[in-house]
Amino acid sequence: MLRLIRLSSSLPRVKIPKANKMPARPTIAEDEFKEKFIKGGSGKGGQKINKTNSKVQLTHIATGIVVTSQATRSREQNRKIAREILASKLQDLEDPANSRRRIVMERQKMVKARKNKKTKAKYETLEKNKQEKEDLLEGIDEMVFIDENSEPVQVDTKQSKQKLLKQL
Amino acid sequence: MPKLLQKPRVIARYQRDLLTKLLPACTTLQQAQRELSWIQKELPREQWEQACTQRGCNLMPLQYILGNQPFGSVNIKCRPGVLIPRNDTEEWCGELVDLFHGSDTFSVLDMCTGSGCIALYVATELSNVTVLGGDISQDCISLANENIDLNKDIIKGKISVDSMDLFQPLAGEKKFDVVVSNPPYIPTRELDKQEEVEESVRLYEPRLALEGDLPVFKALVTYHIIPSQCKIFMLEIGSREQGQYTRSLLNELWVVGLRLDSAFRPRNVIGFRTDIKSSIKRKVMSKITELL
Repeated sequence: MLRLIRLSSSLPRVKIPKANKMPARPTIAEDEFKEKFIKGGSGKGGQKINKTNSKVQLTHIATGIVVTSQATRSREQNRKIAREILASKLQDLEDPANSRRRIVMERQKMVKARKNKKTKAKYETLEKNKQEKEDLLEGIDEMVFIDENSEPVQVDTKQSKQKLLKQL
Repeated sequence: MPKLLQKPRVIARYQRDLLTKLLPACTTLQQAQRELSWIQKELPREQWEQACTQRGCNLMPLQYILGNQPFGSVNIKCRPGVLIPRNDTEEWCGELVDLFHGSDTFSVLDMCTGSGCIALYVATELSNVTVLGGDISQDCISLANENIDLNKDIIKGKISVDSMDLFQPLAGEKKFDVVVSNPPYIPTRELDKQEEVEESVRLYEPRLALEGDLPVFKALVTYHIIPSQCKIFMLEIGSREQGQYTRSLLNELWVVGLRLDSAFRPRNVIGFRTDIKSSIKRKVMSKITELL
């Protein structure tokens, strides 16, 4: 119980916004950019070749920003991904302080920091407990095994101390 | 996951071996990395090694290995014996459905439907449509039916497939408003040349779906476009000559032109009758880059 209280009191309370409370993904109007399907290499095409990738390139007309996507095998999916990337880049450019990308990144940083703090606190407590136990056995120089029916037998102190530490 | 595989060094070596296997089928390392990530995402671990060997050493098309290819918002099942849907076809299907958003109900014939990709693209994008896919190959008919079943939740229009021969007149005096097709259009002399046709296409895809030239377009015009009394057609082509030849088979009631694909190659021959509604006419004209 004592440990629990100490752990929580050592952590300053940081309020992390919930993942589902992030701002909506920015969108972009279809007339703000030009879309192009990129085909690499040879001049043939149609039935003669069978491409597995489907690269989509968007050029933002006003700023000239170019983004591409060929992450998936689906052109529809790549078109969506490219639009998301472009919209996010534009938002970053227009309003860097409030862009979704920045807010999401900041949240991730906070989550990570909280996790690190918890881990650190946990190991500090463990280390402290270990130290307390070791302190307890500190003064013992010699250990003797005593049985009712026989004479006391001297045992390996170092080994026994380690055994005791584990049991405590 | 086996303990051994969790060690970074072991994983790195394993990934490198798979990538090396894939390289012969891919032009760049980045492409090999992409294909590997797709294989690892879609297939169970125990099949990765064999998949990479099939792809890299035997040059098998990735779509036959993974068993599917996304086509617009449709997922098309793929297997040997049936042509794999191409990017270029997906592109013009998008432009085709643009023409008919909000128009009256109309019917489409998709000749040489193969996997059913074009018919399914149209039927999933438009609700005001009835599509019939025709193919001579039984492998195609059964795969197209499987693809209809696979995508049944997103189909908005009506769709069916039937056994039909490109080189035979339409049975039963059927009428259609629109005829589309991605017929076999690689001339025999080119099909056997390594520099013309990609190795994996020549090795694995059905010759029936690839080999063809001017007679194919003659059959489409005389057996399908004219008898069906269609108003608009859009056919995929492999050369400007095939488009010009199609023009020569039609009278002055038809406006015929070429559409170039995004790499500026002649990819379609498009035609419409001069007596269609002017709103549609304008839309079709906007897809034509060059009149024939």
